[in-house]
Amino acid sequence: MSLSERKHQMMQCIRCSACKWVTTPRISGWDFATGCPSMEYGEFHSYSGGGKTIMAAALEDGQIGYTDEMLEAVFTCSMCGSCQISCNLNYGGNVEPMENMRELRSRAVEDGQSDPAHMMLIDYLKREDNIFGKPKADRSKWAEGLDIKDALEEKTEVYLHVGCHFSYDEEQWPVIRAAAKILQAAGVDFGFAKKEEICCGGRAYEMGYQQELKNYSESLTGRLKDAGSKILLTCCSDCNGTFKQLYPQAADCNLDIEVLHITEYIERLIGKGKIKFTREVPLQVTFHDPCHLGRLGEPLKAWKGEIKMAEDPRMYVTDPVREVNFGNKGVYDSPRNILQAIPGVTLTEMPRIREWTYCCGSGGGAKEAFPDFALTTGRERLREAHSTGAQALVTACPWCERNFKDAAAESGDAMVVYDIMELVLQAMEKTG
Amino acid sequence: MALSRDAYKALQAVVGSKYVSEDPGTLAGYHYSWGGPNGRWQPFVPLAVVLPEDTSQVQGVVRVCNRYKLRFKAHSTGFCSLAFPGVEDTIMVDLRRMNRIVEIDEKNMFAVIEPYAIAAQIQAEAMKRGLDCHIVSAGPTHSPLASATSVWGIGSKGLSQSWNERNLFGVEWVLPTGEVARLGSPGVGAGWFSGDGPGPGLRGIVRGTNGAYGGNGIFTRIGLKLYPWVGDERMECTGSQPQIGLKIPERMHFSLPYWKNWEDMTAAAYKIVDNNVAFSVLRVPPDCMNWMLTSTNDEYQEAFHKGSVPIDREEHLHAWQAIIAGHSEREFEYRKKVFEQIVKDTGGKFLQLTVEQNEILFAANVRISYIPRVFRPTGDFSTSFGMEESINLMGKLHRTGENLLGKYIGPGKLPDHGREGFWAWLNEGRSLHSENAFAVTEEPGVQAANMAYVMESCRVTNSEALGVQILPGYMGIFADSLGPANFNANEWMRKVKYEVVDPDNVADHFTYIFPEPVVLMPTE
Ligand SMILES: Cc1cc2nc3c(=O)[nH]c(=O)nc-3n(C[C@H](O)[C@H](O)[C@H](O)COP(=O)(O)OP(=O)(O)OC[C@H]3O[C@@H](n4cnc5c(N)ncnc54)[C@H](O)[C@@H]3O)c2cc1C
Ligand code: SF4
Ligand code: SF4
Repeated sequence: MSLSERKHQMMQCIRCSACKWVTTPRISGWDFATGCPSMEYGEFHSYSGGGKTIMAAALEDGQIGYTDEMLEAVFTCSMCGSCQISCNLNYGGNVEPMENMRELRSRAVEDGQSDPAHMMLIDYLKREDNIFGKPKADRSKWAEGLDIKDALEEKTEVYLHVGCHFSYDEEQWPVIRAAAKILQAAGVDFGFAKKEEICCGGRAYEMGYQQELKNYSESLTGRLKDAGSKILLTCCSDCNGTFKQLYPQAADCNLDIEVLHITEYIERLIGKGKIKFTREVPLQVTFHDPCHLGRLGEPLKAWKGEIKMAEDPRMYVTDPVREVNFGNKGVYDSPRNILQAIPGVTLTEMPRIREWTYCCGSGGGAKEAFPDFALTTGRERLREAHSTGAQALVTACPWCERNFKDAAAESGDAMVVYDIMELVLQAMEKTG
Repeated sequence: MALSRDAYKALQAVVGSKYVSEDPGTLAGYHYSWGGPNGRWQPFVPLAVVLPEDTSQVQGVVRVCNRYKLRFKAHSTGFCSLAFPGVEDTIMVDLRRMNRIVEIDEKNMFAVIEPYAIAAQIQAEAMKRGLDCHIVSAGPTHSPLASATSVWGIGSKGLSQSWNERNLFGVEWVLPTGEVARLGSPGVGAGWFSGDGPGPGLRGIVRGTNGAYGGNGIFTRIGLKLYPWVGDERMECTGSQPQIGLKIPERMHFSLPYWKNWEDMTAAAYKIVDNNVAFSVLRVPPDCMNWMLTSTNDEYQEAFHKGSVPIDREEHLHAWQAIIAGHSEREFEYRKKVFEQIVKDTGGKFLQLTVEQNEILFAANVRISYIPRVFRPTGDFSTSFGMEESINLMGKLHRTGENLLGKYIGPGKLPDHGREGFWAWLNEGRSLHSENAFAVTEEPGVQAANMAYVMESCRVTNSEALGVQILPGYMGIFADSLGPANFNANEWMRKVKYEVVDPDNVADHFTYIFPEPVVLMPTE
């Protein structure tokens, strides 16, 4: 749906400000009640999901044009979807602020008003199939020395999509290598596309470049068909959200393969006895739910239809009935079950978890365009992690981990940040 | 008029340049509101919006407005449909950076709060200390400070938690002239425990029954009364999004008794208040309960047409939702028993709902989340015909509302959601709050029917002596029409604003009282 087609939904916003908070039944105190990092950073209403919805409506109406200040509010946002979940609590999908914001960004791109930092990322993407501008040829460097199949050359049961972040962030190679070692130890038949792997297109879509999502989804569909694997596995939550939610919903693409995040798959392998923990990892941890693993990883079907006024009783309904992004069907239990299965690990929860999680701050191209916003948001989440008394903050997404580590380094915070794969591997390794 | 560069710089000097904006995109969110007769976009775009950090910055902003002949409008969360500028040349004062719960005095049962501490936060903090706060129907995301100082203040837990008009203790007030006054106990540095004294007690002046909707200046801090809470320190959520309920605590009970007619339900209401057995008692139209019990409009429509909505428009028309609470096991058992006996003696029955449904409705009654969901069907709603009156008037109020509303329901007019919009609850053990609230859409025909209905209901309220009109009784354009039948409140309001508090009319008067009388309609 384009911005013009969303006029009705935009004008359904009642400016109640629920989107600035976590879903209100989950508010458990004064602190850690807010849900929108953008609002916390920018303070004016325009930074909230509702505020951006109103700006989008005003733009569509011709009441306002683009200004630097307006665009800053639009792009200083991690597209985390908290606003959407909080809004849907009472309005059942009538407004969907994040959908409005996605279309607003797309309109800005069409009108040549993209964020300058994003333009650069898209240039890189077009050149190298990754937004970091790193050479295609280096894509599989992380796997040197590991004997992993080429999924495009050999048929494998599991097609691993590594993702751009794990492929190019050298500091995160130990995590992705850990994942590969875990799969190997569990005897999984897997491979990846080596140098031929391409971006999922999710980040580009969130920055407003919708066509990129379509292009990459088509490319991947073709590759998967050729590869003939049964499972598409990803260790990156961003890719997880792209495959499960964006492809069907926004790119009209059904991958026709089971898509799993590594935490779901590892939980399965533990259940089948293929992964056994032999070593204690004495650590008190708290778990950060990545947005794209949870609420934005909720599988949603494509919807094409109309919103109309039912006559008896009169109210807006969708025809055909549309699924609403309530966030319940994200991946929340798998990482928790894994952590609880690791001997020695104790999990203490933060106030904002599951579908009401607080974003790390790095999504939607915000870290690249507004690094200070991302770091501020990351610090806020570290503060929340500290409030649990945890020694370590565990997550399951390279984007989140990177931003937490940067935020901790910048502020001298001693919180240790792990990807869950690191703990799994530690617990599998033989002592001595 | 555009904001002069001098005035802009003066505002920047007060709040810092990051916290002043005159960007059209930013301002869009400050002239957009539900409930407006002209649709969402309100006619007056503010000249700028400022975000002060503390009382002295609020004072500074107000002084700049005085100096440069600008108007200002206070804005806490902006959820109330009256938080946009009603006049030209207005500076919006968005108080969101003043968001603290400064203190909770557990022993003396009150909180000291700033404008942007929202109800859900205050309630959660209060519950940790065995206390609860009164929440008006705007629900978890509104500002209790705005409610207590400036807008009505009535809510469905009123039976045990009074009105915010009375829950308002000490007040810090930036007058439209730029002076700062502290009323009640803080006026003599004695803490925030009282609104009347020691120290100057001016609650009637700053707000009266209805509140001044920002027309008398800006309130920056208040003491807010809290009430005992017998439930858990941290309420456990049940169900899943969006059907989130609350586990009903041990010494609390939720039920939905219903009667055959208004008379029996009224008789039960008297006995409930006489025997002091309920924590809260609320009546909403059956459709609203069914909206609460379904996740989306689509789901509701399907259930409605299958006949599987749990609350029936006819059979459960005369129903209370009641919460019983006891401070001890014995008190709880006693109250529950007496309550059940009252229902039996008055010919009532209990509607059996599932555990999940009970938990959802219990949550809606404790956290006050009905009204936000009332927006779901059509995206807007309207209200009229409200008052605090004798419980005895219940049946007459419902019938009058139904008859009146009936005239305006139909294709292209108001939606039919059971031909009624009767909300009612028991207040303070002695009165009934009632209101006719109903869903509307943006369509011009619907808006015209809505306006005509509101006008007619105001007239009928007066002519049929249906009680002291409080909604939309004293607001702005209605004030001079309804004031004469309500002890000439309009004249007192005019004196308060223009002779005492705001002689230069710097605080936007649009939703309070116009300088000169505006007669919209004859009261007879
Ligand atoms: C859906 C809905 C249902 C409601 N139902 C009820 C009800 O049953 N009972 C009831 O009592 N109220 C009801 N209200 C009104 C409600 O009381 C107000 O919305 C709320 O109390 C005010 O909080 P707010 O944050 O929404 O205020 P805002 O929207 O920010 O402001 C409301 C008004 O108060 C003024 N104001 C705000 N802050 C200040 C301040 N610090 N100093 C001076 N003036 C200020 C504003 O100028 C505006 O006119 C309802 C509102 C809504 C949206
Ligand atoms: S986007 Fe939704 S939650 Fe936010 S203000 Fe609008 S209606 Fe409320
Ligand atoms: S997507 Fe996240 S950061 Fe952006 S407006 Fe919504 S809640 Fe705020």
